[in-house]
Amino acid sequence: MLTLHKLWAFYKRDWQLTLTYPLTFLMNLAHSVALLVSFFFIGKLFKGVGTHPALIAYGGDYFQFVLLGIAFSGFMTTVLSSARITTSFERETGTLETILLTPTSFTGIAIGRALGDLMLVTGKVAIYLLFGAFFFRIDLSHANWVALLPTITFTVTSCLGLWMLSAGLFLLTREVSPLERVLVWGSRLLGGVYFPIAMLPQWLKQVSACLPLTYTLEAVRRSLIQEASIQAIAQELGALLVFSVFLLPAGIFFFHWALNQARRQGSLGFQD
Amino acid sequence: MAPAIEMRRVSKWYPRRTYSLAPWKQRDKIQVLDRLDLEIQPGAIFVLVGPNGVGKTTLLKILATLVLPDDGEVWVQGYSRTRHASRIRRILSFAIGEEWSFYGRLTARQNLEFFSRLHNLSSKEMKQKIQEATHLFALDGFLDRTYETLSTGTRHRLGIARSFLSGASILLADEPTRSLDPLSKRELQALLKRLSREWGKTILFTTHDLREAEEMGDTIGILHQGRILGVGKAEELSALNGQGNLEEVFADICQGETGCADTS
Repeated sequence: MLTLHKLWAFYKRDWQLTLTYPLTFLMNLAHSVALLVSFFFIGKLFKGVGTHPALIAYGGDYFQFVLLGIAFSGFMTTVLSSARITTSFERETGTLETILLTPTSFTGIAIGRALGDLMLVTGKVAIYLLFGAFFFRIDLSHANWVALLPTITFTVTSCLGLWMLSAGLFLLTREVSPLERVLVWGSRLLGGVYFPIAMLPQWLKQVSACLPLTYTLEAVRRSLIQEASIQAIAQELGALLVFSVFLLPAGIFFFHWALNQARRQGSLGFQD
Repeated sequence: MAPAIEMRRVSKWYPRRTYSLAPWKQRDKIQVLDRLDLEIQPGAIFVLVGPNGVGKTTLLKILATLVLPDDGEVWVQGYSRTRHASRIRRILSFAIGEEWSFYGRLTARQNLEFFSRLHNLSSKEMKQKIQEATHLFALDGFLDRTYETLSTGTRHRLGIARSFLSGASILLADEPTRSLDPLSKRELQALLKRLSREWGKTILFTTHDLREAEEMGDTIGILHQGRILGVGKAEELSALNGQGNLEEVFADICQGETGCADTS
């Protein structure tokens, strides 16, 4: 059984472990800032040169476009890599079996961990937005924050399913899951993180339509830049809902199955 | 009273692990346990001896619900492993043989607190249990040191202490005295005996040290080729081939010169 009491134990342990790696924590923070600053100057470089028609739909400011892309793509990238990191970390420290020996549902733990990661990403997104608004003067005066809520909710539920699928694949293959690679790199390239999807050739646009991140970023940009209402982004929200309805149960089922397969093969303990 | 542990015709095969690019290809299987039967009475210390790689750890992991058997039935205090796995996790604890089953950068106390929470202990119960375990397993002075700085002997004691926290009545210990110096080994053996005699715990532990098996076991089982080929008290087993020497009997059984014996 998973209780808040147990979930808290995991979060507390993670925090205690994070404190033992202070440099890693600071370096990650510095990396995010350096990335943003780079794009700020790239944006400045192209200001006044002539805006690409595909960018005009998003207000024409490249830095604003890319900041929102980087910030919200974290939902997909962080969640997918955290599925592998969580599972491999417990296996490699030898604690996965010890945790499974306790009366605690590992599927429950996995969901709890994924939710914790998603909360952290939400916090990180808020920091990105504040950072952008205060230091780089991005214009969020037309933002419809209310429309952002269902977008984040449905993004979280679809990411939760992907987390479970990715962690299950890691348990089975014990290497970086192809799902993680394909989705992380595919989403960065085709999900509209760094450039508008309208710039892609038609056949790649069709691939892009299969990625949940495409709909998240479209809904986010429209609600934060164009003040779009919930009704105006209903199509994107509907697509994210469909992803959630399929991915969440599929993820839970697959993770549970993969865990049993690992039990059958005796591969839960550290062997590599 | 139901036996603490009962296994009937348990078999286990592992797929031979390969790292090929064609995972769909049929893989060979290695049989680890072969229609194994085992019965352990409550409160007893049962020592399972056998050469390396004979399936001792697999047997323990099947009991601990970490590995699924391919065939056969397992009951722990009358609860079926198939139907009541989560119940079994409450009445059985497993001191894993690996030294690295703790978070190296956290202190012994932080580790024990984390696992106590997973065993549903409240803050008050947790503090009380950790204090009790600290006293019982001579961990005073080590609780606030990080796990990675502890000696092997202390790590083993901490492992047993962790399994004590859950209050489980059955303790499985996988080669708990492996790589310990003679003094630490003796201390740990005394602790295990105390857990059985004073706390009434049923203990199943594995070793390949026959002298340790003789000293510790109320009953000894010799595991070879996936089956338990001899069960009994040390003296009963020693008398099997008429030489009065457990080491000789063990060698004979493993070489197939002494037949299957159940003297229990």
